Amino acid sequence: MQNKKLTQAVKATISSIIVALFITGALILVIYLFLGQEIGKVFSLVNKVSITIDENRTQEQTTIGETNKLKNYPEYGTKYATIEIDKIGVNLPVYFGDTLEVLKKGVGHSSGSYFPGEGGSIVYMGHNSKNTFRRFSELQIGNEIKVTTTYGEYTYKIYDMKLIKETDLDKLPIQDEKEILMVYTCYPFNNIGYTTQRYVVYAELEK
Amino acid sequence: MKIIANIARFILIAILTICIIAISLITIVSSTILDKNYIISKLEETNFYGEVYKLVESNFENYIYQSGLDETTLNNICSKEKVEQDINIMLSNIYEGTNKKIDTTPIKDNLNKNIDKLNVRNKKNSEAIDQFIKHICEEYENTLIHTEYENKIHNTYNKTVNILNKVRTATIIAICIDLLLVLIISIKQISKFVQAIGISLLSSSIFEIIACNIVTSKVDIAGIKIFNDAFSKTIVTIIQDIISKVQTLGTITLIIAIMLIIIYSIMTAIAKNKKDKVTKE
Repeated sequence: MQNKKLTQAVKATISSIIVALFITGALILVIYLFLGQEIGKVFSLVNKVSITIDENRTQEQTTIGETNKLKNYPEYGTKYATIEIDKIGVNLPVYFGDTLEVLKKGVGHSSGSYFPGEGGSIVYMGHNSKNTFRRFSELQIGNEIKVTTTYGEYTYKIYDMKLIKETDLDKLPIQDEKEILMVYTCYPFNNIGYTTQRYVVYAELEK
Repeated sequence: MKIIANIARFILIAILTICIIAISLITIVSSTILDKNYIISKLEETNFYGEVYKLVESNFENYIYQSGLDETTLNNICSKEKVEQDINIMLSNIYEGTNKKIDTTPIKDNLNKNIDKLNVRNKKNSEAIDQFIKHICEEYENTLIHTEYENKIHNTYNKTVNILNKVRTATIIAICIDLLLVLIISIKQISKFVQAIGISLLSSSIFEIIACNIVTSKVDIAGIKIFNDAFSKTIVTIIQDIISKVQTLGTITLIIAIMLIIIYSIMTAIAKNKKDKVTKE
């Protein structure tokens, strides 16, 4: 008698659960059919602004191949070189990136330009503070700029200096026919306040 | 007749399930992102005010390097209290439509005082210094993510709240009518009424738990980066809290549903046995 009661109860429970699962499944199916694409779009949109940093991952050594193409580009925001300009006593770290945070630490490398050794235009920038490029006015045509990267040393010779508007920085010539290093800083050098001009030094690869 | 009643009961259970899911989600959304006090509590929990203050200071420092001015220029130009007050103004603009502007005059005045102490201002650089002060004030507003769209966001907020209130009322009415109809159909066998509620709650709880699992498996919530680290941290905390609330609600509903189904099963077993006894006699 007790067994019969139990069997009845279990049967009733199972049938209720089956109905519930059926309704849930049907509901999910309907949502998938009618809103599946939209939900997928929302997920991909959120994933676009989702950046996971693997802290255990180690950056592989940057190297340069025979075709002047870099392997394992430096990660954005990391230091990958030093820049030396003996004439004005500059010896600073170069970081890949051009954020204000990078410029606080040293010289920035514009992410839209080439890397030393790749044979194209390289754009570096730094503040005109005492410890950075304040003495840029002392530079002359023929002076050398040495860039030591983790994959090689490159020496450039200055061949021109120009003043451009802050708003014209995106017009700096980016090409891949000749290796040119362009380093710029705020102008006037001793100005107090906000500067609207940039002093650009152009140098070509010597060795 | 019995088949028609069963089909009707099934449809009513399905509608009840949808209504329970809708009311659960509306309640959670209303008590979280649409509630100003909840947002403030989350801002405090993630130390948002402190983090934004640090960001403001750091961004100011970036400007000082290119300005040629001494670093002391930035001394005490802004305080954590000012940042907190301005963020709350923005929240009021969004949630209450106050339409207040962030006042950067104290920052401007403090900067001018500090620059005057350095005694560097002259006719030649006066304009550049004013530009520098203007940029610092703009940088402050940008770091706080203060926009002219706060008013538009408030209008959208108002519309959303109104729609949700209407949907909530409609859902409650639908639930009442649905339950009444289920009760009428099950009037001869009250255990079926208990079963209907049990199944609806079970379906809605399974749906909520599955939905949360899909969201957490498809989206890397912890990695979301919007505007700045402080804002991202708060957004991540809020999303994770909402998902956790839905999961908790789903689990509680699941327990209640199982209890109701067990009660129904016991009632059914007892009724069947009674019926069998009567038949035998």
